[in-house]
Amino acid sequence: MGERILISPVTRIEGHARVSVYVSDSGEVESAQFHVTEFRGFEKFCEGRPFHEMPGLMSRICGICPVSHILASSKAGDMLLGAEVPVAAVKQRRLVNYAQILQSHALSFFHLSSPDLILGMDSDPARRNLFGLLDTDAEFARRGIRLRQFGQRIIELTGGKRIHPSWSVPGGVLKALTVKDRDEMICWIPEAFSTLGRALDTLKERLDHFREEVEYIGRFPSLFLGTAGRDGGLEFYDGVIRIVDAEGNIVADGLDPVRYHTFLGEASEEWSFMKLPYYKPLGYPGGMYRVGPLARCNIARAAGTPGADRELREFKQRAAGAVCHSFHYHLARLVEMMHCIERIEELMEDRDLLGENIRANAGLNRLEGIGSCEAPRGTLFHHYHVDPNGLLKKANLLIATAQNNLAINKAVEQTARRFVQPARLAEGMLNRVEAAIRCYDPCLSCSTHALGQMPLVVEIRRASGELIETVRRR
Amino acid sequence: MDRTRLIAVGNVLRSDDGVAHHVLELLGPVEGVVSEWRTQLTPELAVEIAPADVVVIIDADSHAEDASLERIRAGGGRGSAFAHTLTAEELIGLAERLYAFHGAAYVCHVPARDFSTGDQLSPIARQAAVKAVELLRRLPR
Repeated sequence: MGERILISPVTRIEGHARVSVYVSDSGEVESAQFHVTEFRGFEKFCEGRPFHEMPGLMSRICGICPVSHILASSKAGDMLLGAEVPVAAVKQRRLVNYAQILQSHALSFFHLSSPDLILGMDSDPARRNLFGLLDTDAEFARRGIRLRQFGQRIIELTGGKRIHPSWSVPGGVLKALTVKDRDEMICWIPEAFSTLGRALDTLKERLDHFREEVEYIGRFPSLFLGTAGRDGGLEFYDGVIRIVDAEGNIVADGLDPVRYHTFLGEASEEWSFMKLPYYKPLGYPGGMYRVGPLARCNIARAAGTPGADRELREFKQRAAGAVCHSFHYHLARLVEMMHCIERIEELMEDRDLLGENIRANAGLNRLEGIGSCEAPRGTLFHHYHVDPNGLLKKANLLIATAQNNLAINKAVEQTARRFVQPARLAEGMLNRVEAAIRCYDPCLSCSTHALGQMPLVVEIRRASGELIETVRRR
Repeated sequence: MDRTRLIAVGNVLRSDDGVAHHVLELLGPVEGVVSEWRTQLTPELAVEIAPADVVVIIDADSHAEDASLERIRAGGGRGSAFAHTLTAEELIGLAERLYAFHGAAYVCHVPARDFSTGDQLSPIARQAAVKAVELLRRLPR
C-alpha cells in the first residue's frame, strides 16, 4: 500500500501551506500536491463599502506587495470614474510600482532564496537562513537589506508610508512629489546598481553548482502570461496581455486585461483554498500557465533599458524556446530588478513626475471597473461591480500566486519524484521541495486574501491516504 | 542625534493588535526620542535603529497580565524559519552584527486579548497602554 509524505509548514514563504507526497507500495514517489490551508475571503469583506475606499482597504491584503493591490484597485476605480488620470499621477504610480517590485524581489532573492543558493540545499537547516548567510558573506546580506530599503524608501517618500501607503486613489494620487524627496531617491541609485551587479555575478557563478536542481526543480512546458508594452517590451503598469508557449511562440497577443474573464477561467479543488486559474481555450488543467518574473522575461521582446536588455538577451539564451526552468525565476528576478533601477533613474529626470495636477475630478460614471498591473509575483486583476451609489456589490481578485498554483503543484511533484527517497528521508530532500515552491515566491496571504505567515507541513501518506510521517517546519 | 527609538508594532485594524500604536499616541512627542509605527519588524529596520542608544519595541502580548519592559539580547535566527518578518531579538541581532548597534534593547509588552477585525481596544489593552506609557517615560535617555 502506498504512502504520503507531508511537508508542513513550508518555510521562507508567506502564508500557510502543506505539501503531501504520495508514495507507492514499491516505495517510490507517485505524486505530490501543494495545499493552501488558510482562508479569509477578502472579496466578501469589502462588499458594501464605497469604491473609493477600495485601494486603502485592498492594500491590507498583504504587507509585502500592498502597492500592487493599491494600483490595481485604483485602476479599477479609474475605470468606474471614466476619467483620464493626470500624467504626474501615472508617473508616480509607475515609480512606486518599480520600487515595489524592487523591494519585493530583493526580499525574495537576498533573504529567502540566497541561503539555499549560497550555503547549499543540504547545509545545516539551523544555519540555512539570513543569519547563516551573515557568517559566510556579511557584505552580501548587508547590501541586500540596503537594496530593499531603497525600494521601501521610495514608497515611503512618495506614498507617505512604506507599508500600506494609501496615496493612490481612483482618478490619481493624493500628494505631489517634492524636489527634496526626489533628490533623496537619486542618492541611492549608484549603490543599487552596484549591489545588483554583484548579485548577478554571484547567482550566475552559483548556478553551476545547481545543475541538477536547475534541470529537475520544476522544469516543464507551460504557457507564460504577462503584461507587455504596445511594443512588446517589458511593462509593469499598463499594457496588453501576451501569452507564449514553451517553444516561445506567441499564443495570444494584444489581449485587453479588462476582458481577462473571457480568456482566463478559475477552477477550484477541495484540497486547497487557493483558486486554480487556467487559459480558457485550452481548458482545465491543460491551460496551465505561469506568471511573474520568469513569464515576463519569456513574453517580453526586450526590456527597453540598456542593462536589463543585456541581461535579458543572456537570459533568453538559456533555452531554445521559452525558459521553462522554475529555478530561473531567481535570475529573472534580478533581470527585472535591473530594469526597475534603470526605470527609476529615468523617472528621476522626468519633470512630469513632479507635476502638481495629480487627480482627476469625476464622479461615478460606470458600474463595473477592472484594473490590472504587474505585481512582483505576476499579473494582478481587481474586478469590481458597484451599485449606483458607488457601494461595492461584488469583487473578484485574480492574484498572481493563484495563477501559478497549477505550476507550483507541477513543480512540487516533479521535484519530489526526482529528489525524495521515502525509505531514507533526508532534510535536504524536503528542502528541495520547498525550494521548488520558493522559486515562485508565493504569497498565500494575497492569493487566499488571508492573514498570516507561511509555515509548511510535509506529510508522507500511503496512496490510500493513511498518514505515515509528518515533518513540521517553523 | 535622537538616541532613543520607539517602534510600535501591530495592525491597527485588528483591535488590540494595534495597542502599541495607541501607546505612542498617548505618549506624544518626546525630545530626543524618535517614535514610529510598523505593521511588522523587517530587516531594513536594523539599519535605522543602529545609531540609537536605546531601542524599545512596543508590542501587543496575548499572554501578558500587566505592561512590562523586558531587556532583550540579540538572537541568532530561528532555524530555517526566517521569513518576511523578524522577532525583536533577531532584529537586534541583525543590527549588532551588520551595523554595529551597541545600545540597550527592550520589548515593552502590552497585554492584549482581542485580535478580531476592528479598530477599538479592549478595556484590558486600553488600561495597559496607560501603564506602558508610564514605563516608557521612566526610561533612561
